[in-house]
Amino acid sequence: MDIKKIKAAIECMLFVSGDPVSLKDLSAALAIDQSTLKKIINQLIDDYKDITRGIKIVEINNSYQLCSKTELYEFVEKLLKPKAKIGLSQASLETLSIIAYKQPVTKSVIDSIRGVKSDACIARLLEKDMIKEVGRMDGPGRPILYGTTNTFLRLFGLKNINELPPIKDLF
Amino acid sequence: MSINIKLEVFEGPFELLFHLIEKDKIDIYDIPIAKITAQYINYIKMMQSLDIDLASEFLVMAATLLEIKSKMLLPKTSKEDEVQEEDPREDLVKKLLEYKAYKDISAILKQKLMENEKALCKDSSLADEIIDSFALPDRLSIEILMDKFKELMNKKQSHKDLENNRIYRDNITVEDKMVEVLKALSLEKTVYFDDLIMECINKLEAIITFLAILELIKQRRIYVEQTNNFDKIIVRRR
Repeated sequence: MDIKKIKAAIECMLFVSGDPVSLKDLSAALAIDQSTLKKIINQLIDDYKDITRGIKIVEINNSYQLCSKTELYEFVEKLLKPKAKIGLSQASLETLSIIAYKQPVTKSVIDSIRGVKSDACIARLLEKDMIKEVGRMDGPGRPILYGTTNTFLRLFGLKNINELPPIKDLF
Repeated sequence: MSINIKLEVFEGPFELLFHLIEKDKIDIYDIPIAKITAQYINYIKMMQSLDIDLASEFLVMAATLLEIKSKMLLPKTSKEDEVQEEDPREDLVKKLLEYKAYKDISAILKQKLMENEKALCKDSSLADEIIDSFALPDRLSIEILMDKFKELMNKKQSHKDLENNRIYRDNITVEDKMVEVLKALSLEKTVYFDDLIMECINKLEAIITFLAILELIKQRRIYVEQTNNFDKIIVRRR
């Protein structure tokens, strides 16, 4: 297949999917091996950097998703006039950062680091699809383990969890 | 004496402790525990005097501080002890530092969130629509729709005058209809379901007819069949 057509096909599939599409699925749909496809996608990502384009491709955990460009947000705002957003509280952010760095982690570990109960924060983060239950710990009561989601990565502009800013003087 | 108090709200004991440490620019590795404990307890007393519900975590921390303070007051008995015994503050400092690390990082994360939440993406509604799409049945054509429409309009027309001028009592029962349907079937071998429904004058009668047919099917006195989608449904006597 002509490379231009491949790029068009990738764009098309990402547009229709909305949600992130894994490299594996794209590779299967296009019948192109993953490493070649990855190069083409990276080219496409560069193409989108052109100032005349309003969208971009973001990479999240080896999946790709079409997003609008942050620098054009002012126009979205003018067009749709979003209501003032209720952001995350300081407490929720603290909880989220502990989960991000210590995942998979139980509620009691979070509570002990923060020195306060984190139930409400965890509920809110779950509701916002920032975190999810990733399993249960082997141990008394089999407590729930929490981890971050792809939504978290996207909202924080991270390709994967290793891209979190390093924590200094910890442990 | 009137006092003006400006209270900051502290989420938890660590936050309060940090506030006290930062306020006096105290070296976190060498916390003057007596001073901090006094300040901490003062704060708690103030909250209690203001009738603010105090989370139990604050009290636990107060107890911890007092414990550390009392440990530090104890004279060290021997040289050996001095070497082995760890600073009673160490645990607390470790916890404070860990909390501080996450507090700091949450500020960085907040910054990142504010930058990146301006990049918007669509959800999967379009894809879901494709996956669950409703395919039009093969045999459906615009002609079938037209025929149906004509049929309906004709029927409507013929009932119109009746409907407009008269109000019917709800005096038709399912039993009556069952008899009627069976009577129709005794004259002819088969009857079209459509015809049975179309003969009805109003919605109520149509519903009763439908119920009567269902009842007759249940009683195994009639059966219905349809060869293909959109074909007429045929009602037969058993």
